[in-house]
Amino acid sequence: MGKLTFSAIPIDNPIIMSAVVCAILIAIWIGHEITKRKRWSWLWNEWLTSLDHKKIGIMYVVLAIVMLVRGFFDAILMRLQQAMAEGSSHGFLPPGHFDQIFSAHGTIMILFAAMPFLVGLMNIAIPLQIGARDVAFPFLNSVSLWLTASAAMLVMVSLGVGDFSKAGWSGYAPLSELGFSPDVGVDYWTWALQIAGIGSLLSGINFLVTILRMRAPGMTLMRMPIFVWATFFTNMLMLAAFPVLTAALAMLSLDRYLGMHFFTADHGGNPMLYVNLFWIWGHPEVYIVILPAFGIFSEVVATFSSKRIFGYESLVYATGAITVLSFAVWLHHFFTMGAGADVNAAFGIATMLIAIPTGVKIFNWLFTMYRGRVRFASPMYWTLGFLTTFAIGGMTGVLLSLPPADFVLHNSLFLVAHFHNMLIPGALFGYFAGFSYWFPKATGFMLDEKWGKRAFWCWICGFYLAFMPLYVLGFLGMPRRMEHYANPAWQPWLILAAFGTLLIFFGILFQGIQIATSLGPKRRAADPDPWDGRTLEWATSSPPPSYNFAVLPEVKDRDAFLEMKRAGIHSPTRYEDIEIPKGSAKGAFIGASSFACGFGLVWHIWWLAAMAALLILLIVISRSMEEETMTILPSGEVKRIEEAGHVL
Amino acid sequence: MSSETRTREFGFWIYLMTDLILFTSLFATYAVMAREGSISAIVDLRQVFLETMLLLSSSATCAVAMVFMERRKKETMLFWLAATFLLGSGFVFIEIGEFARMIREGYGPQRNGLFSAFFTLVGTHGLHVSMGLLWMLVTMMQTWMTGLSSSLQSRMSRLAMFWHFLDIVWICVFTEVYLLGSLS
Amino acid sequence: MKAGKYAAGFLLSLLLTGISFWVVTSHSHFREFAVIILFASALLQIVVHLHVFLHVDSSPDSSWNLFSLLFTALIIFLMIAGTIWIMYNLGERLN
Repeated sequence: MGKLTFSAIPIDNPIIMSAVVCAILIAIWIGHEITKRKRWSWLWNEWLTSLDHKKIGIMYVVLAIVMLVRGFFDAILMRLQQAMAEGSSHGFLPPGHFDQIFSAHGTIMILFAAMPFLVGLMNIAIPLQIGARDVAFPFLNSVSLWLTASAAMLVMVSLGVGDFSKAGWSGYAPLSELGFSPDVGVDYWTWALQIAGIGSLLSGINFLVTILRMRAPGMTLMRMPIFVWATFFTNMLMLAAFPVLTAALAMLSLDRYLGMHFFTADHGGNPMLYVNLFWIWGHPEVYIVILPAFGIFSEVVATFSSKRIFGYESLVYATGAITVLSFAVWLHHFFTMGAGADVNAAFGIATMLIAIPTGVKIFNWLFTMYRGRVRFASPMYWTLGFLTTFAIGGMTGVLLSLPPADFVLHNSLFLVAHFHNMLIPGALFGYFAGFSYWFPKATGFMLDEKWGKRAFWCWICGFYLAFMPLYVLGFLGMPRRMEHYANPAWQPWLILAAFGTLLIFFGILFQGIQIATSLGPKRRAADPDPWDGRTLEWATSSPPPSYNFAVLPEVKDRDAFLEMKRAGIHSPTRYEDIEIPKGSAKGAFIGASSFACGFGLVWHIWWLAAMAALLILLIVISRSMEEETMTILPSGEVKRIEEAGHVL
Repeated sequence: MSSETRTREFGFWIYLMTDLILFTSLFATYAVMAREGSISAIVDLRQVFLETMLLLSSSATCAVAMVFMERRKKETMLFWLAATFLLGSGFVFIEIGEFARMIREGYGPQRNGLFSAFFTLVGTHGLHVSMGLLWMLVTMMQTWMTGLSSSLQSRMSRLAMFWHFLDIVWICVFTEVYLLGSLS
Repeated sequence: MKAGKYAAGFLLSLLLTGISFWVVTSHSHFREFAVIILFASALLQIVVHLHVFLHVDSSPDSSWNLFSLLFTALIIFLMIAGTIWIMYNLGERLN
């Protein structure tokens, strides 16, 4: 069994063990509920093996929410520890455990909460918005989902079996090398990122091709909704950035497994090269998680202001400019590594430049609302919360782009405050806006507004309370990632920040209540077009049938559905046969095999890793030999579904 | 060409672009490591030239196979594909021999950062060629058994794209690693 | 028709490969000259391969292929140039 023994399970650590026991109990309870309701075959046939992009999207979002909650509990533990551990008090977390928690928190939030959330929203909305019946490669879509899920599973397993990485979410060498991190933690981290990275890469290919080749007749590029444009550029970023992460992590693994010397401190290795490669991926990754949110805000602002988006072209070009510029600023993550003033200045200036297209977008959204009839539904709440909060984070970002200022503030809590100030409003609020905006479309039920607004107020107040003190602490000189400190001046601010986290906890709790009431017995069915929408996803029923559109829409305007509503919608006179993909279990099997392969590699169980890799190869070959991957939905059946109002 | 085939080819093209970026990371790493030393003492350029000729010729035979595929000459196509397979295998064979010789003489990937980068860059290309060979074998067997269906044709043309793409990567490898490395 | 194009492409790559190897093995040139020849012939050979074997051209059918290739080339340039600039600068300041 390689390095795996029973001592890998941390029986002596009550915090970890209670988390593990809780997770197992929840899993047993869910399993019990499914068995009681006899829903296993339904779950397997209708969901887990489905190639329907809308269902895959919902599964992505569910995964993202589960991981978001996990990452949030890590955050609570850190805030509580730092609120307590001053002077003679050492809190409840020993350094090794604290290190694992902040490494897991960053990794999970970026790669297993943000990424699945945005890919899930893309899955739900993109084919509908471009008037397509599916994505370009439905099977690949399922493979992406299951690779992401199995990577997330690998991170979760590290909780109970062995350790997670203690080297931070960025895994800087040489700390992440074997000499300094001999346990399996870094290996869990690398293999989870590798598997998830391949999943993201495949999604990127899939959606880029979908957008370029599957649009409805009449939808020229300059008629695409802004969210489609944002997704297009996001996919370009994913495709250009993720291979660098794959390469950097592969080299780190070669160091750790085969004794090579890429990033070691001896034998001609170059640890600084790791930092360089990591951020070539890492900076575009920031925009990968933020650009889709910008796209969502654009849709929400236009819809809830009942106005065409202001400056459509400028928004598109600004997004394009951000896409290219985001590959020219990566050094600002390591100004202090020792490059000369010329190098630092060049990347500093490029960083300031990137604020310009971002500023353009802010004005686009403001001018869209200006003189519009703004309806304050919860998607709009998240958008307004984003606009105000993000502007503050943007300003601290421009401050940090100055190398001399960065020399003072880097590695302090000011930096932590800054990037949370970008990512929570800039990415997460955007996903929440998209979640509440498309929830009726995806599920067919309205999302409860009362609990949604309560959740929003908890989130936004909690955010300010939790992160503004961190700016102050940065100025007071507190470094990030400390599990204990001896400066009494810091403690009041940290206690304040802990209270902010508590408020956010209530925000998440209220969102849970919101989802439960919206899907519970008092649920309310949603209209096809609950928000008076402007784009094509509102032209079909809620939830849409498996084929999305019985008759492919003809696009004549940028706000395609609005134009259709003005011209008058007629139900089609005749229906045609529609080809839809058959479900396939092979995506789930590939995911399960990659989990086994990753687990085997982490613990040096070579036979398991080799067998799992061989299995993946065989599944791929057998899929390539399948001839009948599509099935025909006859026109009569389409007619029946359409006339029954799409009840699934 | 059907619309679906074109969609698949375009998707595969995008994948090739991402693979280019993967190689870019390895090339950049090699360039950084090459600041600290040179591999010229251990490299046999005659062998590299032979490898290059094999891979170039395999690109040509692969193109010929595609010409016969379009003319729906199954046997002739399989013949040229088999030639491609043999040339590609020859390339991999020589490369493994070169690696083995270098490791024997104490210049293995564990020696220092430069040799780690050398083995990883050249080895990643070699691994791609080997995967291409495996793919070729599976596709040839399928064609042999079931005939030239349209889905097989579409897969074959993607395989050809992959094969020519690996040639382009190899041009960069022999230029940056072997020739530039032998200059100084 | 297509076969002729392939043959021309193949011969051209043989020629360019020959030039590259000759420049290095003949040892009779200035280093800078040899480096320029090497890069020029590699670049040319890549273009030949892309055009002849991978059918990249300016026809509307392959415009997105060309666009994605150019975008990738831009990113590759930024990554290689940036990495070499940064890492060599760091290396010099360490010496």
